[in-house]
Amino acid sequence: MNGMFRQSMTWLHTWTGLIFCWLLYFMFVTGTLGYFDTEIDQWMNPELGASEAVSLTASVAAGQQRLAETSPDADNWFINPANGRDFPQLRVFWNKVPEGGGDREFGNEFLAMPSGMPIETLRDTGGGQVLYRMHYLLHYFPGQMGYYIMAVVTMLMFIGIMTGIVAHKKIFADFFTFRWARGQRSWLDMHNILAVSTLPFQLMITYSGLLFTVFLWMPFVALGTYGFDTKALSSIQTELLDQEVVERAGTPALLVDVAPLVSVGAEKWGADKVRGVQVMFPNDQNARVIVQRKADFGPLSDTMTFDGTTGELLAEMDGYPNAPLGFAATLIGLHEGLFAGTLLRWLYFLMGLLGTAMIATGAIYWCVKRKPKTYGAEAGLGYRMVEHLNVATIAGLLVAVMVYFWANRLLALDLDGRADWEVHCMFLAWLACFVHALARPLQRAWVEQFGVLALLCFGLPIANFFTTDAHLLNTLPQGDWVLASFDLVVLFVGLVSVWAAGILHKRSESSQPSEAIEQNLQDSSATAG
Amino acid sequence: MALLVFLLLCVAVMALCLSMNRHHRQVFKETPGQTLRYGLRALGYGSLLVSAIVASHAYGLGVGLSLFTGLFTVAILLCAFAMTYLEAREP
Repeated sequence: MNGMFRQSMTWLHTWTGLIFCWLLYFMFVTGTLGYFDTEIDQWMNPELGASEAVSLTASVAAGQQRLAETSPDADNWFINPANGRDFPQLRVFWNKVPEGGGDREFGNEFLAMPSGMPIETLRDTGGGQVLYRMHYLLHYFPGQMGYYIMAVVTMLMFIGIMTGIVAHKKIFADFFTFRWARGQRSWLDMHNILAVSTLPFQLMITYSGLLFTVFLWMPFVALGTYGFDTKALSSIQTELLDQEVVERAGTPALLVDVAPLVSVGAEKWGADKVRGVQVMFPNDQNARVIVQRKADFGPLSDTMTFDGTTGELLAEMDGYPNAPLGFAATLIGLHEGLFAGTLLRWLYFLMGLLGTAMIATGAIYWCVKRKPKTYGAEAGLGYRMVEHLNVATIAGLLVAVMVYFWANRLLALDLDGRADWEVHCMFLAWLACFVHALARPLQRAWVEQFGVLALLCFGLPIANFFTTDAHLLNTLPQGDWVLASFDLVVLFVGLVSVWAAGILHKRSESSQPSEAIEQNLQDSSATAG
Repeated sequence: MALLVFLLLCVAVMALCLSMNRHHRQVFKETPGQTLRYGLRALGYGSLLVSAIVASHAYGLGVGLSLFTGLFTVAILLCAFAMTYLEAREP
C-alpha cells in the first residue's frame, strides 16, 4: 500500500511537474522580480530622482488636488506620500469601472513637490509593476483569462509540493546531501536540496497564492450559504470581513479635505508610519476615506475608515476582525512581503530564485533521467521537444526579461504606446529564443542562449551609461543603492551566465571523456546543456 | 541582531548535520558515539529554538520568524555545500 501510494504520487509529481514547469518557471521568475518591483520602477524611470522631504499633510493635500482635477469621477483614489521603500516619491493612483461595464480603467502619476504637478520628464514605461502583474495575470489575455490560468497553475504547484514531499524518500537522511558530478544523481540531489531547504517558503507562497483565489476555487461554499446571486459575495464581505459594503449613492457631495484625516492616523501610529490613503467614491454621498498604516511590523495591517463627506471616524481595524480572516491576512501578507525591510526583502528574493532553480532542475532532471533509454537515433519527438523547450524557457525567459530592460533604455522616448512596446519586445525576444532553441542542436542552443544572456547583462550597464545619468559611475559615488544594486545584480547574472556557458561549452566540446566521472558529467550535460 | 540569529542558525545546522553518521564520518573519519550524537542533536535543536526566540524578540513575531525562516534556508544550503566541498576535496 505504502509503496503503491508513493509510486502514484511520484507519477503525479513527474507529470504535473513536466507539463506545467514552464508556466511555473515564468510565474516564479516574474514573481521573484516582483519583490523588487518599486526598485525596478525606479531604475526604469531614471528621470525620477530623489524626492524632497515634504510634510505628510502637504503631500496628501497636493495628491487630492491633482486627483480632483484629473479623475473626479473615479471609483477609487489612492494617495501615497513619499515614505521609504514602497513609495520613494509621492504617487497617486485612480481606477474606475466604466459606465456600462467592461474592464477597469486605471492610471497613476508621480507628483513633484512642492508644485504638486506630475513629473513631466518621465518616460512611458510599464516598470517593475508590469513584470510583477505578469506572475498572476500573464499578459495579452482578455479579461480574467490569465488570472484563471494562473489559479490553475497555482493549484498544480501545490499538488507538486505535496506529491514531492511524498515522492522524496529520504527527506531527513538526505537533508544535507548534494553529491557533485554524479550525473542523474546530482540533478536529483540539487532538485531535492533546493526544495527541502526552501520548503517553508514554497508552502507559504503556494498556499497563500491559493488563498488569493479562494472564491474562485470554492465559490459554492460561499454562494450556497449566502444565496445564489451577485449579492452573496457582498454578504460575505459584510460578515466575514466585518466591513460595510459601500456602494455609490449617485448623489454628488463635496469631499472633505483628506489631509486632516490622515493626521489622525499619523497621531495614532506615528508620522512616518502612514502608508497612504484610499478614497472610495470621491465626491459622492457615500464617499469613504480609508487611512492605511504602513505594514512594517509584520504581515497584518491596520486601517482607519472615515466618512468622506463629514470626516467622521466610522471604524478602526487593528490587525484583523476574526480568526479565519487573521489567518488569511497573515498568509497573504507573508506572500506579498510588503513588511519586509532590506535584509528580509533580499531573503525573499533569494527564496524566489531558489524556487525558480528548483523548478528548472526538476525540468532538467526529467530529461536526464530518461536520456540513457531514449537518446540517440530513436529519441522520440516528444522527448526532444521537452529538451529544447527547457532551453527556450530556462535560458530564454531570462534573455527576454533582459530585453525588456534593454527596450526601456533604447526605445525612442516619443514612441506611441512605448510601455506596450517594451513588453512586445520582451515576448518577441522570447519567441525568438523558442525558434532558436528548436532550430539548433541542443548543446549549442544552451551555450548560445546563455552567451546571449551574458552579453545582454554586461551590455546593460553600458547602455545605461550612454542613455541616462543614472549609471554606476554616478549612482555608486552618490550611494544610491537602489539604482546601483540593479546594475550590480545584472552584472552578477552576467557572470553566472558566462560561467554556465563556459562549462556547457567545454562539455559539449570534449566528446571523448576518459574517466567514469567524466562520463557522468557528460551524461548530465548532454541534456542539461 | 540578524547576524546573531544567523550565527545561531549556523551552529544549529552544523550540529544537526554532524549528529548524522554519514556527515560525521565525512568530517571526522569516524562514527560518533551515542552520547555525542544526542549531545549534538540537543545542541542543534537548542540553538534553533534560541535563534527563533532571539529573532522574534528583536524584530517582533511577524518579521522575526520570517527572517528566521529565510536565514535557516541559507544556513542549510551553506552547510550542505560545505559537505559537498569536503567530499570533493577527498583524494
